[in-house]
Amino acid sequence: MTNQHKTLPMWQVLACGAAIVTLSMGVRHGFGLWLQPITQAQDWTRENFAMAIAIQNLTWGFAGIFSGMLADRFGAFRVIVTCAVMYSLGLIGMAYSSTPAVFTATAGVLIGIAQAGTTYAVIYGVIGRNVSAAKRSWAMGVAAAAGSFGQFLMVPTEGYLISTFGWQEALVWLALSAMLIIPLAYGLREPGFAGGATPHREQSIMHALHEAMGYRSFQLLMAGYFVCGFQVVFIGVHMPSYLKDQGLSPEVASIALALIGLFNVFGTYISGSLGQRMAKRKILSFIYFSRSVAIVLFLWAPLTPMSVYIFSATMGFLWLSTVPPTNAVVAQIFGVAHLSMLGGFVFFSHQIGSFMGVWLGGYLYDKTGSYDIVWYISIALGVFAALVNLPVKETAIERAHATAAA
Amino acid sequence: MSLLSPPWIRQALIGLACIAVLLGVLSMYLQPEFLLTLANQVWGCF
Repeated sequence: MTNQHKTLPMWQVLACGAAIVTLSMGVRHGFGLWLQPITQAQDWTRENFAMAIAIQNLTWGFAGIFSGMLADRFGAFRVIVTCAVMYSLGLIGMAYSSTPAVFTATAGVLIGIAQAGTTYAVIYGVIGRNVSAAKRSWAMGVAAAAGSFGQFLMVPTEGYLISTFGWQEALVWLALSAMLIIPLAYGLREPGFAGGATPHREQSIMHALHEAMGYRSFQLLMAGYFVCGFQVVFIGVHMPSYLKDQGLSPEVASIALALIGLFNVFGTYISGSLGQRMAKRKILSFIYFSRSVAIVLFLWAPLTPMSVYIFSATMGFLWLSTVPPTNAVVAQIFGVAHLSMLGGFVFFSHQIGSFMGVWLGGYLYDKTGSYDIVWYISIALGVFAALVNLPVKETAIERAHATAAA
Repeated sequence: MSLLSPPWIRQALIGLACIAVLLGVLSMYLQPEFLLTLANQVWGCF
């Protein structure tokens, strides 16, 4: 058997991929905990901090396209190692930036690029190439659940690090933990890319891109993922403020955050597993529709700590559960040769939605004094995403002719 | 034959271990002191 056709053992891909995603997704999830200590110590405004994080999110989405292209072309290993180093440098930069501009360059741009190369799109490319279609959706669910677990685990861990070591040294510890990604990446060295080789492709990058962008189902998946980003980030960022306005105690917001994290782990794993047996477009449609129903019930019911907890558990269950089926459908339609790049494009749409969710939430709150309109937009978008996912064709695309190799 | 051979036993043990870890992390959130710190920091963001 030539290197081109050798694959990595599934357990190895899952163990290393899941651990990388746990670290990468986890580290960034607790960044909000640094807002107060950094702005106070450096005498910066909250806007300085928020701008860096906003740029980080957009960079993550935009760079995901290119890290995906590079991972498909040269193998995920090189991309992951490079981005792990960037992650550590970004965290060190976050700790020792002396001006908001440097802070934006490190915490924003550097960490944004690092996330693009160490999270779902790149890891899913390895899973796609090394795990058979019969177990691919499940495997993607395992990796996504690991990312969700990372988010759940790292918030209290980072809180502990800050209270024990102080905010600056805590970031250095995080930088060291990000370096653990490098040895883990060795488990994702694919034989097909050994010695700088590129596996034979029936399509060039440009052709794959042109094909996907012109394909109706891909456009619909991107539209759905935009909504995912909008809803999740609007709720994640603005819900504490909403609860405060409604007169609930601060502890309620903390428990809500914990419940979202806990149920997110179950939701991502279950949606990935179900994707192995059911039509993924139906799973996606169900998730988006259920989000809308959950929001309607949350707004309609009297607001109490219990209603917040039930809503948080429900939304947590539906939080990142769109990730495995969306990426598994992309692999099913277009194959796995350009999966990281196409996953990067879909994720870019997610990040645009995230940006819109945060920005519109703040903008309309300032204009109207309440979040009502954004809640209604979230409900409408959920129904829209549920409908646009239904006509997605999950079958492999028919290609008339093999085109130039990459 | 190993006691853990039947796949369902292995799966059940893995599932239980995962749930134990998740509950362990949840208990970190629910420590009254941390809950308050987190609440202050989360609320401090807005």
